[in-house]
Amino acid sequence: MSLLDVRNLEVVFKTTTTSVHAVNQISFQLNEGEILSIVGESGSGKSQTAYATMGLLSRNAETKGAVFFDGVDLTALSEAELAKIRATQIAMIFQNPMTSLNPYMRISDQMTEVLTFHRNLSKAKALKICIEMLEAVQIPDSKERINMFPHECSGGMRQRILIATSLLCRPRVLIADEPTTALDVTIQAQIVDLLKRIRQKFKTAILLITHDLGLVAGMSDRIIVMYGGQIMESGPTDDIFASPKHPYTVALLEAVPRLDRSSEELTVIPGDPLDARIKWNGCPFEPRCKFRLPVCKELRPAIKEIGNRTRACHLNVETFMQ
Amino acid sequence: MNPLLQVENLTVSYQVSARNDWPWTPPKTLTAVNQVSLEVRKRETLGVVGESGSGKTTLAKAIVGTAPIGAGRILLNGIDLASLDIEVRRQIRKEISMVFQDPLAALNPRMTVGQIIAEPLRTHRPRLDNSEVKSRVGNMMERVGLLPNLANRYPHEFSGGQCQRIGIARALVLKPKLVICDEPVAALDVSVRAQVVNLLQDLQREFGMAMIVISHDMSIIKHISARILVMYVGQTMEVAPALELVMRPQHPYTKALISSVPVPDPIAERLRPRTILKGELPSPLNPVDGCVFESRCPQARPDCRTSRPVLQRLSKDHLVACPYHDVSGIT
Repeated sequence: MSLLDVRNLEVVFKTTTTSVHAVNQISFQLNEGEILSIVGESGSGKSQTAYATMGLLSRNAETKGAVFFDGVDLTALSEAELAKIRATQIAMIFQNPMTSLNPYMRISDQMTEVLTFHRNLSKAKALKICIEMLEAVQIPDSKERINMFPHECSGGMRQRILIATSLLCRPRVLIADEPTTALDVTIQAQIVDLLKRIRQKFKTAILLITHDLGLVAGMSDRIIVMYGGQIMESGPTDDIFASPKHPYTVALLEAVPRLDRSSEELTVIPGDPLDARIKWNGCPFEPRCKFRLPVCKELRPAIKEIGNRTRACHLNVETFMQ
Repeated sequence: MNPLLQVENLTVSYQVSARNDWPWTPPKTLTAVNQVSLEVRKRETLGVVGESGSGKTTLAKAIVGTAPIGAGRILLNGIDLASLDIEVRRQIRKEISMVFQDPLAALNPRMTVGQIIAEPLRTHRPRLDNSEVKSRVGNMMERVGLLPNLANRYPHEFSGGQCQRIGIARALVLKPKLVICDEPVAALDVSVRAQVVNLLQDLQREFGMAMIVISHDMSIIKHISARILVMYVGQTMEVAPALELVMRPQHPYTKALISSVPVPDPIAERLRPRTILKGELPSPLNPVDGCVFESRCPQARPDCRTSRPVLQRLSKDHLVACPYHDVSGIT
């Protein structure tokens, strides 16, 4: 059985004038010790999928569908029961490490709070575990650093502190929402290396949410490609990169300039990303797709399984691959 | 042939006081750009790459004249900009324009797109009549892929990619000889980036302007530029033709930078050797005697701490600021 099982998840935000369909009928599973990546551009619904999983959506959101963690449906739990599962079983780290740390509290207070609250440990004992955890995420002089305030630490350091905090209760799932977007490339490489090591050491399953295809290629076992709130394609990382079977994945891979290859001109995806305020009946990628058929505008393609991969496109695989 | 733009030993420094200093503590000197020299030839694209805090934006600001020049000279077509009278300098400045990182923030929300693109014309060519301005704005909009009938709309009605097109139109409407693009695609979605990169390249072919493209993204820089300048904490580490720099980097920092860029190919990603730099950028407030990269350099030697490396010329176009560049075998 998979650790996290998301079934037919839908997220709709009600505003005074319209309703925004951020996530449309998403299903996926995360297995124990696995790194699963959700790749998509802004507005693809990747972050909202993660927030819905954690029950962190804003108040005007409506969710449908179910999120099973270890066999328990998280959407049916009360806020108090959910609070127990958050941090102890499922933890989350965010894109901007500064806004996730409380600027008025010392690192030591913010970190020990997790253990004194969830594990009923004494402050002294909690502090010892926190220092060990900071060492595990490679923060030098962690004994002194733990007494600092967030503003005294650099961006990379803050992200390490957040990762350490999220791991304190040894969660089984870590959701990382764009963990390296705010960081420089050399620091990004350090954090990626750290996340890989955490998976090895603590056997934590990681749900990585990102727009960076390079990042995904280097660390994940499986990928889900999202666009306009829907899953376009999913499968093992190596297979998706070796033979993408959806027009959007193909276009996305061609549009990224690569350091290891040279090309005269980049292949362009025409048009702009989708406006989520409009509810689409058809395929969300239809207006920008090179291979669109008349049917694509009217009927949403169903997700079909092909071996260990899934794909949502009206064009059949054989024709598309040619 | 004379290069279009020459920057010689440019230094930009600011006086800053630390947050927890006493009011009477003398301010410290922050050297954002430290003796950087570069040249941009006509119709050429120079890429400037570096991490945040490396001084790339300050360098751009100094060239367009919005940062104080501490030392050094900036020559456009052989004329030292600092030596000119302010009125004449203004005339010459219209040859240099800039495209900014955040496309929406760079556009005045209370001006229509037409007014935004026309503003450089109105300032620098006040004698043009309205119909001429209008037709030039319309042509420019068409050229960057916007419908001219959108000229009466406001910036918030456009997507990020379209706003960047507006910014590019404004930068090019005076047909400048040099366009400085500061992180032109960093704020854009992956699928829109390629559109803007291709647009810049097309426009360069058409108008024949030179470009300085600043980015932290090595793959964009390599794609768009003919030569690349690598900066670290305000100093030049290496300058080389783009392909040569990526294929045969000489400076240990360039090597590490290239190795930390993830490649969207899982198999290549597993096979390639990676150097992960330890630690973080040193503070420009505490200048070092030796090499600025010494604290993170995997090949640092004792004398790197004491003597500052000078830029050495390896070939006509390849300069590197590391005395031990050829000793290290790995690429």
